[in-house]
Amino acid sequence: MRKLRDKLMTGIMNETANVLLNGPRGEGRSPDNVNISFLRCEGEALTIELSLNGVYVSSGSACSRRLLQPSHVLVATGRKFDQAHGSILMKVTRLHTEEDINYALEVIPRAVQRIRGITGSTGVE
Amino acid sequence: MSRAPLPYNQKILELFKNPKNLGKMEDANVVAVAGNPLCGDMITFYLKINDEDVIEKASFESYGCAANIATSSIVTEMIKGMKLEEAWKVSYENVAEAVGGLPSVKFHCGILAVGALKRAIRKFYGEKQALEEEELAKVLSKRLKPEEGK
Repeated sequence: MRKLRDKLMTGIMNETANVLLNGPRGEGRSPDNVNISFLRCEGEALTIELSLNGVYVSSGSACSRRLLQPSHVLVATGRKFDQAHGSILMKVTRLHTEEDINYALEVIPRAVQRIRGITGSTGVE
Repeated sequence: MSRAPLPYNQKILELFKNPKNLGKMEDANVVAVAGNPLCGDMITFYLKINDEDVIEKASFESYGCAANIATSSIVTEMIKGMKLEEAWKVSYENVAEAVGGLPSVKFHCGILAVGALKRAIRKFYGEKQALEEEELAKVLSKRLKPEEGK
């Protein structure tokens, strides 16, 4: 599980510009967890875009929560509001295969590019 | 572990997948940004308004959720060809109806889209008034000059 998680995490970090890994690397990280902030990319929109393409994730974006506030955990770790709004939580389980991870790595950069295209120059630093 | 998706209707999903009038407009004569810092949604509206105060073109960019993208897109469709005083009357209810209804937690997206439109209209009149005042100041200064020489 850890091997697939690392493949997903490093694949995203290497293939997608302007991303921040939330949480530690290595042993300090839960073996099933990938949590990444995609800057200039609103998390709920990215969640919907990914789900329309068969990749199911959750987001720390305010808009994906009924409270309309970003994840207090990410904010407590020092992330700014816009960084928390662009965060995506992915879980790798024992049921996932390498093929699933390859598919996610194919879909995620394309989805991020499309949502960033909608953001355009709208004022998020 | 993923959350259940919000109950968006097909119209909202379609506008999210294929938003109309998306992108920066190079020849816009008014650009307005509106946003909700708590939720994080922000919209930029670009309007091209002619001499008769008719909106010839409208486009948008959005840092926001699917409902934000859908409502911004529908507003740019609704106001195309409208006079500004007509566009001013577009309400949040009109927008919500045009997208086939919004989940209650997303009402603010419709309100934000209408707010951005009103901000753009106010900005247009503000800039127009500033230009008219500048023109008037030029005319007056020309008229005053000969008198100053007397």
